[in-house]
Amino acid sequence: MKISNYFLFVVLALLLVAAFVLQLLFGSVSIPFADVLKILSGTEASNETWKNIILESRLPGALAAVFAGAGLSVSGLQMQTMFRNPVAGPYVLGISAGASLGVALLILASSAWGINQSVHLYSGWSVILAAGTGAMLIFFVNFFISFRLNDVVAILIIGLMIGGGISALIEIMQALSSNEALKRYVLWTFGSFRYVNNTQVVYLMAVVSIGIVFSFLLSKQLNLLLLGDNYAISSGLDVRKTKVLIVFATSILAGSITAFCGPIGFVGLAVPHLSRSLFKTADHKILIPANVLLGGVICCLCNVISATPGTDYVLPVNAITSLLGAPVVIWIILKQKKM
Amino acid sequence: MQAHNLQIGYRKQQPVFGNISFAAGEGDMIALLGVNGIGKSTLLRTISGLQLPLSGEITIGQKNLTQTSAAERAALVSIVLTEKLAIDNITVRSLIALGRSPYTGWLGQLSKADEQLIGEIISLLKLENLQHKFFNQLSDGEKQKVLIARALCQQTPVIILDEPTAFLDFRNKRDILQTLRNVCDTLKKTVILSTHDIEAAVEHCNKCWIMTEQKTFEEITKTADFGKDVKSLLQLP
Repeated sequence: MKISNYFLFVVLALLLVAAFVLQLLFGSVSIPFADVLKILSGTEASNETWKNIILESRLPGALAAVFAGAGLSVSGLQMQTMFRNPVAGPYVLGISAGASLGVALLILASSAWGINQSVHLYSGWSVILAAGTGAMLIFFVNFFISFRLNDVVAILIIGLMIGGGISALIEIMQALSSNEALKRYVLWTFGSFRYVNNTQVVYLMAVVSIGIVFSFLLSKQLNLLLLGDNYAISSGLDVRKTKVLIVFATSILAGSITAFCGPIGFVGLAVPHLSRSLFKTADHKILIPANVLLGGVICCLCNVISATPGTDYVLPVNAITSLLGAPVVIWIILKQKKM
Repeated sequence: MQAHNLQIGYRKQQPVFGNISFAAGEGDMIALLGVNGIGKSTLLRTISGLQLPLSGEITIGQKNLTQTSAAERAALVSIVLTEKLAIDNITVRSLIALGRSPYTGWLGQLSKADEQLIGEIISLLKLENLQHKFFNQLSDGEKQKVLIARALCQQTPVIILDEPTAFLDFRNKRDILQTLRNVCDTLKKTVILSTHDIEAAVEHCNKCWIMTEQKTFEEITKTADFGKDVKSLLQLP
């Protein structure tokens, strides 16, 4: 590996630490830096409420932002390689919408059908399973469509249509469900790291870590897929098996993150491009760790911005990532047309 | 590489072409000629192992191509396709290095010997000045050479190229075919390529395979009347 890459990794790691700390400092309640340190180091806190805010809300939220950013970026990277499509990503392809459908079915349909909802329903494996299944379902739909046509813009449009269709289904479910379930669901769709609690964040961290390690182990296969299916087959790769493994890895990443943090747009699309331009490489052995760090940094910063320090407002994270990500998509498509 | 009574196509009821038999040896550079749609690409895909023949046998050395695994096949045949590749941010050297994948470990780490071989192939194809450039910055001719270098890194006895000169100007065409001729002679490979450029094929190749419109498969070896024979089989003036 080149020395400049080591340097970049160190810089990104430091940035990630800094961005992580920023998240603990800023929120709707202002807590002095010295007290934040005291609470984290476990010494006697001067203020019980502050302690609660830091340990029960900001810390899990901050961790969720790191892992969500990392996981979404890695899953987006793999989708772009697999579909050989620069605008592929969990949100654009409708994978996040698929995960939403799974969660909506869990929260809304169970309420519509009068199934008794326990509190635990929303905080464990059931949500991961629902979102993961929804994500995988839509991923396979995309997969089969890409057999028939592989046009950058066409796949983008189909992804949007899938998203639109799913929104319609969810709206119907919303109309039929109880007020309480509806409120819970709408809050979830805003996309947020700060509503992730300490129990949920443990699940999230575990699943995302597994997904990232799994993806890293696929990096040689991913590198071969850069050349397209035929070259990959003639290099001895079992392409079908590899693609199923990629679908699996990306679905558990995008699915579990969407389950806990809501749909977070464009991170999975934009960060892979940023890391490719930063590291000037197409090698997944470098790109996967790069996406982990850069995705983490970006989601942490979005989380800080969404807290709008100094005010009482909390903005939806999804709105912020979309504001930052949409121009990137336009830039990519303009760049494509030039080639 | 040998083929016996090969029938190729996508469906048993509608074979694209049948009754193909040939024998290609070390150092043979063979041009596959025929009109558009006659089945050149299908034949190349079949003998590359990308699709199964409808019937018949293909062997390389002692190995039967249709009964080998993809991993084994990767050490027998390498390919250069006609589709244009657009990969961002990959250097020429790392793209060529992908040719070593059948021999590298689970993360694709290159050994010292791999690096040395890659270096040798880069200098054989005179790509030294380009090796640290990005693939997307190259001209079509340079890209084609890089893909040939990638195939060479796979160290297979047979290399198959689907219209390697299709997008190239006159000088690049000559350059690519001359490069392939050198590879054949120095590394004792078997090179099979499809082309529509009969003059160039006759000049550089020592054999031509012709898929005629009468659905016969003809092989012509280089002689004094080589060019004339090839043209008459293709029904050209």
